[in-house]
Amino acid sequence: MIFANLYNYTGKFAASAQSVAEAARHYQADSHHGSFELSGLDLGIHLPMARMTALSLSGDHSGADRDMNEILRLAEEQPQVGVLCWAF
Amino acid sequence: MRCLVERDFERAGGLADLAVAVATEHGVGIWATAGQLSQGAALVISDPGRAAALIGAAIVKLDAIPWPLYHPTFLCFQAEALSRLGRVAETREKVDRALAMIASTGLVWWDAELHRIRAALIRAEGGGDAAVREALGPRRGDSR
Repeated sequence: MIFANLYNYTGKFAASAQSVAEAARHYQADSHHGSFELSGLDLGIHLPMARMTALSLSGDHSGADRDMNEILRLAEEQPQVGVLCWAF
Repeated sequence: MRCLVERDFERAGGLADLAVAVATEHGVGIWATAGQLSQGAALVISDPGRAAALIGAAIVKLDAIPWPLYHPTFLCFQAEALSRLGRVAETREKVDRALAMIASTGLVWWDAELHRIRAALIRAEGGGDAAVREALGPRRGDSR
């Protein structure tokens, strides 16, 4: 996810999408639900967030819309106020 | 942020209002500031005066922490608001600051939008097509 963010903010959107896809292959919601306590990031929400950013900046607005709805759903289900504000 | 990328300002403003309300209620200052930045950006067309003021106040707070990620983005929105108000010198100041931050950090994700505002600024300063091409065209040795 660090690479996904780095690639997004340095304008390498295709590389970011690839990094998100790779991260998603390793992510298991049941075993990573405590990622916020470890890193300050909720990886379950960060995956669609990074993908949404890459898709939006690449012009895929319907794909970005799908991810945005997923982000808002996940954010409202989790308990961290900071994550909820970040998702908004 | 995605709504700002796509300039869906109505939706962006609604989400920013929610972020500010939740962050203020729980005393999460950084996210209240981030929400204020988005509130300002969402007003860039409908109320550019308020947009410039909101973003300006929030950027002062953001300057206090070493987190330059969003500076160029919101300096760009502030520049657009100032440009719409005809405040050319202030627009130039914000654009130049954003460009300097991008040059020092490599955070180029908002480049395209910044160059759009920069082109409008050059025209407002009296420049023509040649001046815009000179400023925004590919530089020697630029392989991007």
